[in-house]
Amino acid sequence: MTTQKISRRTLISQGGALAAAGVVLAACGSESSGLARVGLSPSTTALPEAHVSDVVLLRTAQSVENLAVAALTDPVMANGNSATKAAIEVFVAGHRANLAAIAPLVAERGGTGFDKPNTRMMKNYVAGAVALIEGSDQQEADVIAFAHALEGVVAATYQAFVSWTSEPALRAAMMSLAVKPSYYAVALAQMVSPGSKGISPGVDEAGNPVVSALPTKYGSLASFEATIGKVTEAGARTVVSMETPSLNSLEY
Amino acid sequence: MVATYVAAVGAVTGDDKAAFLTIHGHHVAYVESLSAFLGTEAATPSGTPLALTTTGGYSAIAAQLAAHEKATEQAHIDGLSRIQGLDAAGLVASIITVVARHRAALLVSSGADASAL
Repeated sequence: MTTQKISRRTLISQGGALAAAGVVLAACGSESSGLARVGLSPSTTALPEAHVSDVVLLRTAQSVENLAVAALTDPVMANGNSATKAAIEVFVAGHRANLAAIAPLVAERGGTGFDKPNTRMMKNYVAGAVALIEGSDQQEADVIAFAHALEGVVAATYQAFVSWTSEPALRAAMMSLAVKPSYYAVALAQMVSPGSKGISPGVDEAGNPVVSALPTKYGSLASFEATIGKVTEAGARTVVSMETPSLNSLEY
Repeated sequence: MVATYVAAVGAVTGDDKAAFLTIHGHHVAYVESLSAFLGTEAATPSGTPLALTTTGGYSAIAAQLAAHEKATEQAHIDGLSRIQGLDAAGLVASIITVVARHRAALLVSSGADASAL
């Protein structure tokens, strides 16, 4: 067994070596605790934390109602016939009434209202659909087809939000707002397939599904489609497929 | 509503009958879905039809059924405010949107315009 004496000389020489090693390690080290990296290391910004609260859902509902108003009052939607124009006026008034009903629900919960159309849905669905209708040679029919899908997605938005909403009373309030868009979707479907014949889902002579007042699957939250725009050289038209808001299209 | 539509179906023919049968089928599905959800707590559905005069043709019958659909829609909305479970709330919400469509379809197909909705 050996014993090591700690003398003043040893302390100074070994202490100096330790200090030098510390300086070298400090110089080699970096603030990043990640793997060694060659070249520039761009800094990243963490995403802000976002909670899907009842207020967020109500603000998003406002954005979807505003989207409906913006889409239905777009000048291209005036290309329908007089009956369609009159119906669209009724629908716009209905969506504005829904907006008036949502505003106090937001305020009561300490939220700030959202007075613009849903950002992503406007960009992804409405802007493209409006451009397609503008270039279409069947504008009158396209106005109805697009409005039909739009009303369907507005109603489905409230239905989808029920399972995200925490307050039972608010779920009921939301579903009372889903009623009008559901009515409007039916009124538009009846413009395409009128009378009792247009109520049940079915197919035309070519085997393609016809627009019907009632869906093939009740309560479905599947996408709402509108076949619109100019017929391409291949004989096809564009299908705009709209879905209810998801986490990336809520208005936080 | 199931029993009411059974009465309505017997009073019309052709496309009108097909329309009532479709809506009847939806109400049968609602009963089954809700019964399956409730299990042993499900009540026995009433077999008595609601008030319905089956004369006067499709439009007259559809108008009465539309009023019953409106009452059904409101009953489900009222019930939703007392349901705590999310699965049950989701099921009832899915029924509300289609019941609303029933009402509008019955009204518009029998001659009402959008302003009547």
